[in-house]
Amino acid sequence: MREGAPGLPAHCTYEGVMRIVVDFDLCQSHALCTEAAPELFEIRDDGFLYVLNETPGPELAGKAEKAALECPTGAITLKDD
Amino acid sequence: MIERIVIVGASLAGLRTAEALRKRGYAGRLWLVGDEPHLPYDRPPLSKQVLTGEWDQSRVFFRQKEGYGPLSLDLALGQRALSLDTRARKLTLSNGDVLDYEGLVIATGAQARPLAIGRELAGVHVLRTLDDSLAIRAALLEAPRVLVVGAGFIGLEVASVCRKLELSVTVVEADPLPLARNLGPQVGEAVASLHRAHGVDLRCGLTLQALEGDGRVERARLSDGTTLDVDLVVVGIGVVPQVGWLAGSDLKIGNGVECDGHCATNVPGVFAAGDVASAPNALFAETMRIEHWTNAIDQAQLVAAGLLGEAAPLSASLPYFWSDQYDVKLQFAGRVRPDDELVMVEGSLDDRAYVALYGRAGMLRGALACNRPGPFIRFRKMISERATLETALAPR
Repeated sequence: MREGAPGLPAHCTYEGVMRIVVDFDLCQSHALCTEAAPELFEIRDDGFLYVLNETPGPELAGKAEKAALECPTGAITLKDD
Repeated sequence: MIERIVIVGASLAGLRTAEALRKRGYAGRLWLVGDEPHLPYDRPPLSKQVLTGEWDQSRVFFRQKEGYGPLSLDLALGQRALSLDTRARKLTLSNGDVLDYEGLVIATGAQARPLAIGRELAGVHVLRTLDDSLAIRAALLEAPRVLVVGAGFIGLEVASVCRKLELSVTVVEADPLPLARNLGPQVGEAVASLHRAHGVDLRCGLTLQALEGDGRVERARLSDGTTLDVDLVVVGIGVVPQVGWLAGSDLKIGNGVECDGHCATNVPGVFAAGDVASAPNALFAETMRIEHWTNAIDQAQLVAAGLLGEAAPLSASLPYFWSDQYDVKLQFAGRVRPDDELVMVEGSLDDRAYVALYGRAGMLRGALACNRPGPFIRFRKMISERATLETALAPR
């Protein structure tokens, strides 16, 4: 793993198979990720974020990137598995 | 393919534009110019976690120094853009350097509007930059009596931090209610109650007439004739776009840098993004200059596409902001007026958890949530989809 593959935000470092890592100390439940990638993220009635699929296939990579990019607290990191 | 792009503003919008350019395969030279000495950092924590001391300042940076390697940037930090010659395509920096460019991105953001009085006194601060935040943080450690001027989001967050630190704080606001111009009078009442319940001396309908002191601020005189003994004044009366350096260029300047729906300016090859950009918003059919975090990242994508000649959608960023005050997280999305219809869909404004919708002419125009992120995002999405108020209120 390397920090910041070219052009990706510093929190997107994967090059092949993606793993979603959420830092729940940083997450403030803005929930923008649930809009960007509803297949991957959900806010439940308790107000907390749940990751529905931590290792999405390549068809969801774009949505996962959008979620990580739009997270106002930078709580979502995409890493190589 | 162009080979020389200069981004002015080492901001969220600036950095995200650089990232987006590289991600889209731009391989030419890329400058990122910033007037502060710091690497790009995140502003929302400056009036929250940095001020309370919960966060060390190092946590606000988007990337640490080594994280810049892969972006291959020419970083020019601590350099102010002095002037722009759009005909010769030359940018002059405060150290005398002149950068030739083929593409230029204006991401200089906004600066805090200063008070017209008390500028010569120590202890009077605005809150916009990391250095502002650290200076206020240091002053808060001296257990000062605090006066906040302006009950906007920055002022109210500062008041909230002061109460968290058990400091006495007075907030002076010229309008009859806080936030009413943004969110309407009913929400304004609720926000006023929240702050008063937490011990803030909130005084609305008043202005600050004078700040007095011998070198340092000691007293504030208000328009109702009262005086306050104060040790620290934090001014939060809005921001103004940083466009002074563009005087003399061919760029059209109005309320910020005037752009089209793709964030392109009237000068070919020059784009603007973030707080400084005034652009038509396709979602609301209105020209807007949006001072919000998400707008900066949305526009960065459009600018990167535009610079590289790629197709991009029209700017349709949904204004979104949040504010942390006490145990309350407020989230708002949309574009509303104070006289829009306000409909509660969950809880009441006196609760610590509620969801309210704003409607105008039958359309859903905004959503405000307090500690209810799940329902909030559902309505936020509906605003993007141009839902009617009736659709939004229909049982799921």
